[in-house]
Amino acid sequence: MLTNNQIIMMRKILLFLFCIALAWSAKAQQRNVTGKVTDAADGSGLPGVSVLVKGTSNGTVSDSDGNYSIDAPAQAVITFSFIGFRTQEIALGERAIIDVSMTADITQLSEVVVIGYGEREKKDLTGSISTLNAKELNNEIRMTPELAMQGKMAGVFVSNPGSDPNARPIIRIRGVSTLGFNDPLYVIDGVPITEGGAGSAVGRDQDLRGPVNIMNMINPNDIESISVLKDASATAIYGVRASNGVILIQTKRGKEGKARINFSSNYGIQNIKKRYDVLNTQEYVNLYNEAWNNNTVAGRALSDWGTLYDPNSPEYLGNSPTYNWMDNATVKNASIQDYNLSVSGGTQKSTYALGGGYASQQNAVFKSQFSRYSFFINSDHQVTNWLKLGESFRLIYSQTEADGGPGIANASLINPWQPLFDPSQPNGYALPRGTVKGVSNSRGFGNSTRDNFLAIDPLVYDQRGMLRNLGSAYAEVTPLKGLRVRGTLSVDYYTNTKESFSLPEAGLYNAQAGTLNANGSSYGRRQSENFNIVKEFLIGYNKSFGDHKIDIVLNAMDQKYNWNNIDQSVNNTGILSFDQRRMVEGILPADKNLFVERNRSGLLGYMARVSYNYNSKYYLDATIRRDGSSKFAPGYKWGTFPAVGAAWRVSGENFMSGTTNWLDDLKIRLGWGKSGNQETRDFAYLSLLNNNPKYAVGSNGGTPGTIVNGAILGDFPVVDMSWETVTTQNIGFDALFLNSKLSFTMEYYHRFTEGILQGIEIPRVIGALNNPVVNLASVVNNGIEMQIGFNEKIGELGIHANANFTTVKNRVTKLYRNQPQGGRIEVGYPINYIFGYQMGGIFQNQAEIDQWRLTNSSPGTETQLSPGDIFFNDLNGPALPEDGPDAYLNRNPDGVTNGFDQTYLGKTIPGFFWGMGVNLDYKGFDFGLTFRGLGDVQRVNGVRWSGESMGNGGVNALSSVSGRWTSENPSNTMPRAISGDPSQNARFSNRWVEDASFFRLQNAQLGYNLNTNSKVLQKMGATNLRVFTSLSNVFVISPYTGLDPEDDSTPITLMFGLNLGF
Amino acid sequence: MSLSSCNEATIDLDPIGNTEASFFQNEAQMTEAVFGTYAKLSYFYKRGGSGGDNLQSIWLLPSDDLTTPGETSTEIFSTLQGTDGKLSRYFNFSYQIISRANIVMEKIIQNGSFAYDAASNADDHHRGEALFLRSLMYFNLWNIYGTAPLVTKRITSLDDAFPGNSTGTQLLDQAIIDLTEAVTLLPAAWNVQNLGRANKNSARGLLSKCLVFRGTVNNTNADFTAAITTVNAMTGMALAPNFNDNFDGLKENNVESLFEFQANRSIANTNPWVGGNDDFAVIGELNGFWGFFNNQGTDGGNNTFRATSSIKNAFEVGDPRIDFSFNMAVDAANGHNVRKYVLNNVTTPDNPWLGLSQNNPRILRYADVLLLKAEAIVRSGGNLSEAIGLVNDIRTRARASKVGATVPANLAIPGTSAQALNLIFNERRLELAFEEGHRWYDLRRRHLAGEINLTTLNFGALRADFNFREFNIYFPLPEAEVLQSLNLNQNAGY
Repeated sequence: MLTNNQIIMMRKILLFLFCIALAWSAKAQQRNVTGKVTDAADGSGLPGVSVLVKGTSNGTVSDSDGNYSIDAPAQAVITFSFIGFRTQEIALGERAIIDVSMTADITQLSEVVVIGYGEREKKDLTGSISTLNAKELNNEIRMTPELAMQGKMAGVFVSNPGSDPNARPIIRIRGVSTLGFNDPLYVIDGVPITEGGAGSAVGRDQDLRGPVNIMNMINPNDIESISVLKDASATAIYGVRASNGVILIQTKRGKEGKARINFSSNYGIQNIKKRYDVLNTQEYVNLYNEAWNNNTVAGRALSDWGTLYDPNSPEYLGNSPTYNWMDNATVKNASIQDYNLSVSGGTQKSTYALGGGYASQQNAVFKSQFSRYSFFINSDHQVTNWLKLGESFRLIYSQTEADGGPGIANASLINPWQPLFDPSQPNGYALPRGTVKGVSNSRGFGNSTRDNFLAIDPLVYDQRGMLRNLGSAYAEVTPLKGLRVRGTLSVDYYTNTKESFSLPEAGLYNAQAGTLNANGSSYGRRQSENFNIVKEFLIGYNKSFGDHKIDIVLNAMDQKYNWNNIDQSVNNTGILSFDQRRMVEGILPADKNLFVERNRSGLLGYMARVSYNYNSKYYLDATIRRDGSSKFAPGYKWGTFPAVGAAWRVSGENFMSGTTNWLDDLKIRLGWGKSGNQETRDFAYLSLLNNNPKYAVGSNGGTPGTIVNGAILGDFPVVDMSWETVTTQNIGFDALFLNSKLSFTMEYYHRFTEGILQGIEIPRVIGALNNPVVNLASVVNNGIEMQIGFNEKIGELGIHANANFTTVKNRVTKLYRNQPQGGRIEVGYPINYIFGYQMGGIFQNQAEIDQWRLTNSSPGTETQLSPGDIFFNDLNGPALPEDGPDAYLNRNPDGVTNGFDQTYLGKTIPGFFWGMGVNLDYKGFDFGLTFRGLGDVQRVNGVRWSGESMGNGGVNALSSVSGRWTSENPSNTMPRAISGDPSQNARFSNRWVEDASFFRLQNAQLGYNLNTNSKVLQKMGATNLRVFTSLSNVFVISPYTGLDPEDDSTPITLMFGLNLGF
Repeated sequence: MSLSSCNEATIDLDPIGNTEASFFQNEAQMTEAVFGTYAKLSYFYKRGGSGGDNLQSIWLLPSDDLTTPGETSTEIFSTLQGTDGKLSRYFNFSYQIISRANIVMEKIIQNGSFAYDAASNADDHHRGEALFLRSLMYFNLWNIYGTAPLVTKRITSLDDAFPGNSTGTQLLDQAIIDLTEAVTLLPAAWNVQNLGRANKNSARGLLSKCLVFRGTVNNTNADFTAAITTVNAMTGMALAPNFNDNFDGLKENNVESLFEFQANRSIANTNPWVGGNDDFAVIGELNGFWGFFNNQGTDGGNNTFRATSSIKNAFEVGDPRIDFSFNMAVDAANGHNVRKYVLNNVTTPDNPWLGLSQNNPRILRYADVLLLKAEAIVRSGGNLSEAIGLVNDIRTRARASKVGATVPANLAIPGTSAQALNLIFNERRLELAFEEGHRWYDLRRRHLAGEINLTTLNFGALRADFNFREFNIYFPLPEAEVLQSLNLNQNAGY
């Protein structure tokens, strides 16, 4: 049944089509012009080129050989336009034959995009894919490619990781679709990257895995392109691993021609300039004395550390100077450097590329550093006209050193009287030990005495070395034109070796031990070995029948993954330096410790993709993939992931010929598909035996007992868990306007995640150690994405601008047994929303307290309730019979403030994020700015939580506590200072939640390219030379009151670089 | 390369290591499962993070024997709430032991026919040990929370995972049933290599304790007579020659011992900070910890547990037990005075400042049981002189603990049973001071029975925010557990 509206709409469309048809037939007095359109690159005829008499709707398209014929009046101007080529306008003059040679417009639609198991021209895409090419990547100098992606791609969120070079970046594609493992799948030159323990939420697995940043193994200089597959019609080819999106990285390969040599060199410095404003020693002492005075029960005299704050005690520290730890806890001018050399070239039959590089980065926070040696080689060989062979191989050795340090929060809130330096000590460093209440105490500066990290640094070593081999080889046979049969073998093998060494003296500077380490000098070596082998077999066929093109891909994959951990450690080695570290056989058995653990997983996948394209106007892609995974129980192993994508090039239709003077291309895309997620703890469906518990029996009259093995079942397995699936729907359009100067893409996406794999909290009465993994929840993410690009040349000035904008709305729609989970996950709310108490206000006088007590109580936190304390809102109570059998709480105040009253305080998934870039070039100069930001997001300010709590732990406070409640200066926002916080004013509440939206100038860059004709270059025999400088994190504007809304350690980075080509 | 390389073997993987299905196949493996159940006991006694995280404050502090100036909810009561971290952990660990015991019993039923030799009675021993350990948890849960849920079989479905509160003495009732069976299953004694495992006497000791406790609050005579019978059935038990042998790290599992947590020394890899899970294969959990009695400011500092003047005054001058239990004066330099367990401690050499100890906590000893028997005799209307005779055995041993001691003298037979009870409870207090929550549990059951009123008792607390109210007799259940469950209600008042 059609509604009235639909009928009216249809009439309008018919009328429109009729008008176009009329225009088409209306031909004036004209003569015939013919010619051939060819591709300038190879001289071949170009079919489908739109040929139009300018200013009219009179046009045609070239035939399959590129020939055309059109009637045009004299003096006419004819435009030739074709997707991916520069539009040309030619005045007809007296000619009757006009042959046109068209040049490709590389930056636009003919750009080849890697789509997984193949590539495709941008104009022919049906799925939602964002791309970055080498040029865009190298425009900014960053150590790792993910930072180059920042702010550049709609729907792709890349967080600022701070200054730690080893930190894993947070990359989220179109929101947060699951609870545990949210990282996208990385595929490097066709090899899917897997990591041991990736999906495990068990802390120990994470610890064993170590801080591996996948992106760290790729030198951005080696990258040809990055494609991000966002919707299921694009990702479904990766099936069960693809629900978080797929990032395809293609590295550079050789091209036919003479050897091309490229050298690049970057050097920069990073600094953290911002500081928290904290109290000096005297203000700090005053604050704590006030806090003790306010406590009617536990005053200074009862405190372990009270004498340090007592002006009448000989142990008083209040006259000490104020020491600044932040300047020592940050590294000034932390260096960042990167050098690369690569060569590529080839003949018609064989091409090659190889290169090497060295990079290093110091953390601007004390103290860690990263260095990387990388090497790659690849080649392709057309052995016979039907056989092609090739390989690619990367070898990366990276080394990281982490020497600890207090970090920014601790260094900011250190009690201000603890010194780092003491000239009277032989090494010049101050001990944390001191005299407290007449006794020597390892925490001599109070409860929050910190380790002297500067003294410990040379005594403790923690190094990781990772050697990674990533290689693949293929053989491709072409028995018939259009048919290819390809086998690929890929291996990713890496060992991550952690070495730790500690000298006993380190214990002296440890604020808890304060004595020599009892284990003597100790040495540990832990090796995490990952072995991933992928076998793939592919059959591809493509053929054109007139205007019909079809492309079929069939693929079978077998992936085996092994993860081994070997850990050995010894104590009392007597070794005096890291350089001499070893484990000799003679070490006493009691000083030796070792374990070897193995784990494995496997994946099978079968995939078929059929792509059809009619005349570059109508596209249809259909994919189906079937995956089997070892992660699930028999009967639940296999999953099927179908997807369909369709596109319609509206601008290719005849009725659109009237718009060709302003609209170059318009394509509407539609997609639907499913993909999966398998990442969770291995064998979570099984009840595994845990052999860790030990007991001792036989202790008798001073003879110690014998330690015996215990065995327990710590799991509560849920067998029927299986794939988590994401169903994506996508509708969007791509448009090019004004001679392709302006491009615009807009999409609407809807991602529905079903059966999220997640460990759930279970009642403790079960007695399990591990939470079971179940298909816990369903989540919807939806939103729009927009991407705009603009390129213009005004005289010598080139302008390139782009902007993207993404919105994300995230809602949990269903939960296992409808049971809210800590963290916090609840139906109707976004994943991991911020959950806590809501501050009601501050009691200003006793009368208000008395009034409150008439109807309220707060068990456990009322003993010293006084003016200046916070009252929290009583919102809910325990479920009552009328709430029904499934209710967990009653949404009416019950007069008791307790756990039931915790509520929604904010969300951690940004409601929108955006990026914007402007690049200008003039003659040899170029200048670029990149902005990015996000909004509609909240964040817990942990430093302020500690720094305004006033009473816990003796840490220093932020200067903002001068606004605290006192009887002279009553505040409505900040409570009084009271030691021990008996009313729990500092409990987790909306006091600590802040708006974390921001606007950041991420990067500013100035470069100069020497003209190819320059004499300097010619003298050097070089083909190009570029020098540039950039500044990152130039400024950020945010209501967030911490140092940075993303990460306090975000440094300002100044870089200089040089690229030289021969 | 061929398609045949893709075969199901890639995804039909077994884990490296044993699974539930592949284990519990022989006696050695069943024994490991039993040891795994014992092993969790360490979580009640180990250091548990910083020294202040140890759980013994839950049962040691809430009485008139010990106090601390530190902020501890079970000392001052007014700050007790469902979010209390220690009470949550105590709850978790208790149910983990119950679960492990239930699994042992389930596996004996499922695999017993082939896992044990026909001639072996190890299956009976194992079931007895599981019942004993589970009963110990029921006993503790009743004393701490009162209304904690009763779980008698392994929970394998979430449908069964939300039991409601237990009521009355339901937890003790189950313990009594189980211990009665355990007495019939357990061996009379273990060989020297297995010293420390529960035996018949262990079960009899705990059974008589449960019976006396239940009898007290329910006023049931049968429980007292059953308790007397149970104690009388014990064989081979005696009081150690010296009172201090019960707290001496070199005299563990002695003749007076009924059940102890077998503290030991970790090898090489001490990690006493690891919290409430057995995920990490560190052996730090084997340690005990007594730092709350004597540690320096680094760990606990002035917040050490101190003997109250009330317990000090309860002793007669010259009682040898004083010197083994505490200093009369607070140690001025260190702010502590309790000596039990730390006087003859055996600490581990691993990082001495951590205060890790190998000295076994004596969970149940014969002196306790003898006094319970004396109490049961009095309460069941028995012979007062027999009852006081038992008390005098305790006092005689106390005198024998120091050369030349003349106090405590033997007691004369009182005229009334009420007087006799008072003498017995006083002796329990002196003999069992600072051990295993004996004092608090006694006060608590007597309050529940209406014999005394704790709301008027002087707890000797140092802090002004001490405030004991009637409802504090039950500690709060973990709030997270209450919020999660539709069936479990928080104890009143929290």
